[in-house]
Amino acid sequence: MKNINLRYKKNISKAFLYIGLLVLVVIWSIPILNIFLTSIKSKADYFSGMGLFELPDKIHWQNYIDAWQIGRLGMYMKNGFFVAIIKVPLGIFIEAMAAFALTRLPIKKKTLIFLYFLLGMMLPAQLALIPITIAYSKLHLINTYFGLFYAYVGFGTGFGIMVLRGFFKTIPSELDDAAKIDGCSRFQILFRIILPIAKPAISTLFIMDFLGTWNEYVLASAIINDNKMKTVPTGLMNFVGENFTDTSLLSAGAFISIIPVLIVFLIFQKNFVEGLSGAVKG
Amino acid sequence: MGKKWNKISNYFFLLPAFLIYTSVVIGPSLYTIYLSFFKWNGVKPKVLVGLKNYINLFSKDKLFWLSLKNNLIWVVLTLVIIMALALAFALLFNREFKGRAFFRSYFYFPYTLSSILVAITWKKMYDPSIGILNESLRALSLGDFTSTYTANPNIALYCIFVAATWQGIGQPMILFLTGLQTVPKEIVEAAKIDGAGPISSFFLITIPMMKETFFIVIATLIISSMKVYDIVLGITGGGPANSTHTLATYMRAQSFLYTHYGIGAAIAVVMFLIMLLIIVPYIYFLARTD
Amino acid sequence: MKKNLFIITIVVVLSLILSACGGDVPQADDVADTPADDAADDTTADDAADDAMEEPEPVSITVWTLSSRTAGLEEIIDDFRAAYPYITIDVSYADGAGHQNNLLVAAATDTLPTLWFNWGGTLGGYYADNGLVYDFTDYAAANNWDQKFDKAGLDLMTLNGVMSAYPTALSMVAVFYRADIFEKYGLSEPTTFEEFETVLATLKENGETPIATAGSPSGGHHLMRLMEQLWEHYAGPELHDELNNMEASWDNEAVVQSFAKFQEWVDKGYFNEGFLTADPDVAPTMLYSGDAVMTMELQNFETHLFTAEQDPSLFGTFLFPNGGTNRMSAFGEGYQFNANVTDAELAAGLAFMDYYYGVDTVTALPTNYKYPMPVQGVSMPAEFVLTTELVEAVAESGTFTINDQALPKEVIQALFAIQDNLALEQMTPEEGAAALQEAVEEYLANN
Repeated sequence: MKNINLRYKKNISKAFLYIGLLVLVVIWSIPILNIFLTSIKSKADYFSGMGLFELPDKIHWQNYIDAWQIGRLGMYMKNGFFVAIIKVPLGIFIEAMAAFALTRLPIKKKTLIFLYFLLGMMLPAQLALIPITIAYSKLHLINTYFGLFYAYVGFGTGFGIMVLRGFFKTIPSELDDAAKIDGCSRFQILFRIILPIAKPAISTLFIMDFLGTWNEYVLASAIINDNKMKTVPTGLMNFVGENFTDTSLLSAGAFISIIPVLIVFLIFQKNFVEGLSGAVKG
Repeated sequence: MGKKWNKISNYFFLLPAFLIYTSVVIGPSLYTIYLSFFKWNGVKPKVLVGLKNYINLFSKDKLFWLSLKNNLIWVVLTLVIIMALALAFALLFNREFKGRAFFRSYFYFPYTLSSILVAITWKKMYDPSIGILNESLRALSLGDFTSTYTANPNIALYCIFVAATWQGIGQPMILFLTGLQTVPKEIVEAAKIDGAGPISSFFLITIPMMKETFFIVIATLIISSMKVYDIVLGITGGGPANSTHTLATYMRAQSFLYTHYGIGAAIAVVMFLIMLLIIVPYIYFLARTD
Repeated sequence: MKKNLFIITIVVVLSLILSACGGDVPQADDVADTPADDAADDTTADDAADDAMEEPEPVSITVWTLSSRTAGLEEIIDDFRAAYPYITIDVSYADGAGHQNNLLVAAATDTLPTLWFNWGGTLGGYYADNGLVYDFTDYAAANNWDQKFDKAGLDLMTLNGVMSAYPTALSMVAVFYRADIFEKYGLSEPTTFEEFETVLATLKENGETPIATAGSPSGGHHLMRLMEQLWEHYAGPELHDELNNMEASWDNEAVVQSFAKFQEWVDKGYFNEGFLTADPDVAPTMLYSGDAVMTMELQNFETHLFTAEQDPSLFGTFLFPNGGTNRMSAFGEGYQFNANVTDAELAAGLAFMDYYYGVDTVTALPTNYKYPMPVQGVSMPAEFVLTTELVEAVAESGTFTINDQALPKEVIQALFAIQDNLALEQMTPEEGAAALQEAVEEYLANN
């Protein structure tokens, strides 16, 4: 008797859980739905003042084609991918070396150095923006991907070192000692032992950094002026006209730009929780 | 010879990160601090004005105080609403149930979107005539409840905050989830056996064990609240009637709109100092109670 | 041990160098090379040849312009390259705000391009005032620019005595309206301020939204277009100009009356709901859907009409009846040249501008341009009915510089806030006028 009641109660609470979650999911979807509904309207439809929910007679997929071809979204996405796929591993490599040093090498004043790197997270990009653009101008680094990488890596070190250091700390140092006895160099310890174990943290960092780089706007808009080199956020701004914005086109472009993000996200999201566990343990 | 090389070469591991970071972040920031003591329009020679920019900000600049107030409101709202919601979601997703991974990802997803996109979308949503919010209300015959949202200086900042919540829940939620999973289940079980109810076990056991997690979440939320820029600029640009300006957007106006680079720099420095002012005591407090 | 460290360092450095060398992701050129326009060669090539030497030395120029101009420009550039093989031209685009930012940074670092697009007024004035632009005054006199360009175009780009740009557009503000809705209520284009108020009242009585506009932050300038008409009406042309030059105090009766009238219209519900933070895009959209009847727009409203595939016969335009000759609010655009150009660069840049805005190119590709253009000899395509009307009108009405380019940015920002406060009844007209004057005085004190 009691068991049936208990199971009944459990099912009811489960039902509530799912209903509640579904309601939240619907609410959460509204903005994206908004973009999609706007993107399938032709200009004439959009300007006719039809309500958002009314579907036009003909779904205007042309917006997507236009966003890709005329709006050159494909080019921006290619650029964004190129920038991210180089910057992220490079950044992780540099941060891993630093985190390795701070956790396993005899360095003086480790905590102080760590706090030094953390300081950067508190600084808004705007603070450094003007001096960076001035310096880059003089060094002819404007409109170079090298300049962009350099700035991105610099601003990313704080967070990256924090995550990796946190994870590295949880790896027992006995492994290092064993390797040393076997005659491994410090680099070999880092690459053959630490990094493989730290895969969850690296996965997490990879996806966060990839997305952050893909979406980065402030530095990209300051450093890259040449249209051929622009990434997605700066490229999307081209859709915003002088006096008028083609909203349907912009929505289509925005929707397309979400897709690769979604893909990368879905691939890597499983490792999220594991990867950050070191960081949150301090 | 070998030993000395060994010692020094240890620091080589730090070198790339240190060099790049210092040259791109610390260096320019120091230059900005330097700039804040001058009056400069970008082209004419710089004029040394000492602390005048700072004094003017605090004594004569109403917009500065308004921006500061907005930032502080934002910090409080973030810590109270976003953090609580993120924690609630994390607790929810900490339990096993089917589809948990899907739901978890779904609520994280907006965090992966570019801020411009979020701003543009929500701005359109808030449009009083053709925006989805008022349209839905009218469709449901609730036309009387329509509002002008971001056109109303009294609630504009809060409307922006709703958009920011939609976008921002993801990161703290994941951090909390991670932290929750580091709390050993055995301790919680033991407490249950000892007769502790779910609420007291939560407050007396789970939270204390998640101290570092809370620190990271609170610190990052405070920092991002003080820096908030993209979403405000994208949705209202600081209006209406300058009611939604934050320190970051005001700094942009001073620097790029009026070309008062010195004043802009001063605002940035103040922003940073306030962050230090809030976070350093917190670190101290945390270290003490360890 | 050492060897590994060494190898890794080499790899890192190499990859960094490779990316620096890269710079450009190799792309297939989207626009194929088109053969040069035969027609274009004759006039413009001759002009350039006159300025340049017989066998021109290779010269390199950089151009910065708005990304909203990319359509068609690439074609023109390719044709230009074919026609002028000795000129290497490099064009960069940015959106409005980005472009302004880029220019500011370039100004601060002495890296301005050879020529760049800019607006007139205080926007372009910053560069003129700081000695960053080439002053065309002498060149214009020597090369008969007064025959090449309309006087209005030249004047609007003469900033603080410096002829600071090659003028390329002349923009005017007028009232655009739904002709069919006017007809429905038996209304005709108002020619006096009182008639205009009657129109407003009639429309409102019949449940229409008379005026569509937008407020700050992105639309403060839109609302200002109406505000400045009120100033012109209550202050009259002379006082208005003095106010714009900050030679007279804004804390005066005329300004107070303007603000009061604005509040009156807000109270009577003459504007679209929630206009304060509406996007400026919304205004024309409301006319298309019939949700509003009138709006203050630039003459490129007509271009927008065509792009939005609307029925042109439904729309009309008239000058805002502010009194007197009904002066129109106007501003210019053009391309500023770097103050440090060499003679070769100047010639090359002008060759490009003459080509880009030359009669033949414009005639061949009419939709790429903003009409009307100050370049003489360019006739507008026939379909631009409304623009033609305005161009004819402006010759008689004359113009005043649009306020958000006449006044410095700090003052304008203060104005936008005052507009908002007035609309929200958080300020009285007297307070508004005083606040505006305060902003002016603060600017003058600090500059």
